[in-house]
Order: sequence, then structure tokens, then C-alpha cells
Amino acid sequence: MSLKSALGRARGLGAVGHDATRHWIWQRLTAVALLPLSIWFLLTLCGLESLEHQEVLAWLRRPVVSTLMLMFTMSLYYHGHLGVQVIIEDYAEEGWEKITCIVFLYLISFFIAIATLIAVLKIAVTG
Amino acid sequence: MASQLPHKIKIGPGKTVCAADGAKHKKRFIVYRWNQDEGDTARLDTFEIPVDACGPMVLDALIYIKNRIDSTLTFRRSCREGICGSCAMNIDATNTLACIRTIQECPEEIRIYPLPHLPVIKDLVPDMTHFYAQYTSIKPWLQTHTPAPPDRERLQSPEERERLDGLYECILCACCSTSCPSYWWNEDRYLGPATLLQAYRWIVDSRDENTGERLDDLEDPFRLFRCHTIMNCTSTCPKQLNPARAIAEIKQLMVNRTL
Repeated sequence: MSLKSALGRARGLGAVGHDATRHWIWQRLTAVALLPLSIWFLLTLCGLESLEHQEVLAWLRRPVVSTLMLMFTMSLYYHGHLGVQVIIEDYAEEGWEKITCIVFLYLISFFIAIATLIAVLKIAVTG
Repeated sequence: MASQLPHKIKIGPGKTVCAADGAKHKKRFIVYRWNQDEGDTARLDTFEIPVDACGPMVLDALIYIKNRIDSTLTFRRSCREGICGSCAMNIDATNTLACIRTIQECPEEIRIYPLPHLPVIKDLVPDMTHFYAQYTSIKPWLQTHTPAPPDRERLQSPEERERLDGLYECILCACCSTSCPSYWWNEDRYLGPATLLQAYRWIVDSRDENTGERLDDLEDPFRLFRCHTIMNCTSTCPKQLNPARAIAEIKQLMVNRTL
């Protein structure tokens, strides 16, 4: 039982500030970016079926393709990261479990993004 | 504060009262009942009443039940014309005002519960303390730095006044907020559609001089951005207002001042 006033409870720890709006803006921007990028990715994926491994590497080495691939994957990961963060915030109970989930989400997102970045750049730069 | 409904509630067997024997037109009202003496068990009581013997609205039926059948049935009511918001409850799976919901448009069996996800004080009476505190937190009054003119009120152009239409009519019945899943899951931090509609009412008021501070107070992943545009608020509003649009307008203002 708490004797904290109702208004005190409602005001809580205060407002976070601009990060909240940036989160919302980036969620929408990445969603819009993913529309054409997903169509491009799916269409090219269908075209790759008949190619040999070396031909696919040569295709991915093209600057336009590697740039689009990085844009697609990074937008996808960031959009997914922002979305999953909202889901955790929505449904996880307040406390250390919620904080742990969000920290893990950050670590996993960074790991996947950096691994993808290195993989694509390795092919694009060194072949 | 009054005793409240425990967190995990069981629904036990309720009583059935048939007070409509021989009546030509009758309907069954299944009403949620709980009081602190019943611990963690609520019940659904069934009242069959002659609808010709009471007024046309669901509130009239509840008053009929309280006056003629079971005086312990507890609910809030006052104006009985949709302006005070006291009789907000969940009728036939929709949050609305009992005083403006006609019995005729309801099915033969009408289920009545308190507003969802608010603590219950008794029967159909929810505890609105946190809801009102959230409303207070947005400072719902005119805030200015310029002294008022000594000889007249602060003026608005007709266009500026028009911007308040669809906002000032909110009666704070909480039908919208308690229909919102985001509010159900995060009512402690998310302000909910009713409070945000009221916040927007002061943000767009041309006479108010604290627009920036008001937006500062709302710029939070929970207070404002927990709205996921589910639109239950707009669907259920008994005054046909559009809280979802007001929230979208606040988000737009946030983007305008961020980019």
C-alpha cells in the first residue's frame, strides 16, 4: 500500500523528451523505406535462383546492389528493433526483467547489424 | 480509498430474478456484481424485467431494478441526458453511457459490466482516482504569461474558436480510455485517449501561451506514444468525438518541432 498522492503517481518520473519522438519518426521512416526495398529484395531473390555462387558474389559486389542490400538490411533490423522494443515495453512487467529484455534486444540488434555490415562489405570490397 | 476489486477475480454463480411474468415485452439484464464482502468472487445476476414498465434507456432499466427488485445494486448516475458522464459502463460489450443507450437497440440478453480495467469499488462503480489524476497532470486550464486585458476577456477569432470544436465537448466519462488496450496494459504511464484529447484541447487553444511546455510534458514513449492507433476510443465515444485524431495531431506537432 502506498500513500503517494494520485497526482504524484500520475506524474511519475516525468517525460523522456525528444528521444520519444525520434523513436516514433524512425519507426515510420524505416517502414516507408522498407516498402520499396522489400519489393526490390524479393524480386532480386527470385532472379538469383538460377545463378552460380560466383555470379551471386559478382552481383553483390556491384556498388548499387551492395548499397541497396545494406539499406534494406539495416532498415529491416532497425525497424524490427524499434518494434520489438515497443512490444517489450507494452507487455513486460516493470522491473529488472523489462530492463534485461531491452538490454538484450540492443545487444542482439547491434550484433546482427554489425555482422551483416561486415559480411556485405567483405564481399563488396574484397570479393 | 474504498476497498477495490482484487487483482484476480473469479465469477461465481449469481441469482436470477424474473419480474416480468406475463409481460408482453421483456428483456434479460445480466449485471456484474461485486462488493468487498465477497472477496475475490464476483457474480453475474440476471434480472428479467418488463421493458414497457420502465423508461426507454438502459439506465432506466437499472433504476427499475434498483427501485423494484434489488436496492443493493450500485451504479453512478446523475444527469440522465449524456452530459455528466457518470453512468459510463460496458453495455453489450461496448463502453457507453447507460442514459443514452436505448433498451430497444440492445439484444434480448443485455450484459452490463463496469468500465473495463479500472479498479472496482462496488458493482458498476469504478475507481476513477488515477484517471482524474492523469487529467489533472496535463493542467487543464488556460496558462498565460501576458496579463489579461483590464477591460475585456481574452479574444479569439471565429477560426481559432472553431479549432476547439470536437474537443471541448468531452465529458470525461472514460469510455474511450477504458476501451483502449494500450491503456489497459500501461494505465500507470500512458495518459489514455481522454486525457490526451483534453491535452490537445489546451494545446490548440489560441489564448494559451504554454504550448511548448505542454508538448514537453507529453513527449514520452508512454504518456503519448503508447497510442498504437487502435481506434477503439473513436469507435466507442458516446459523444461521437475523435480522440484518435487529437492524438495524431499531437504527434504531428511533436514531429514538426523535432525535424
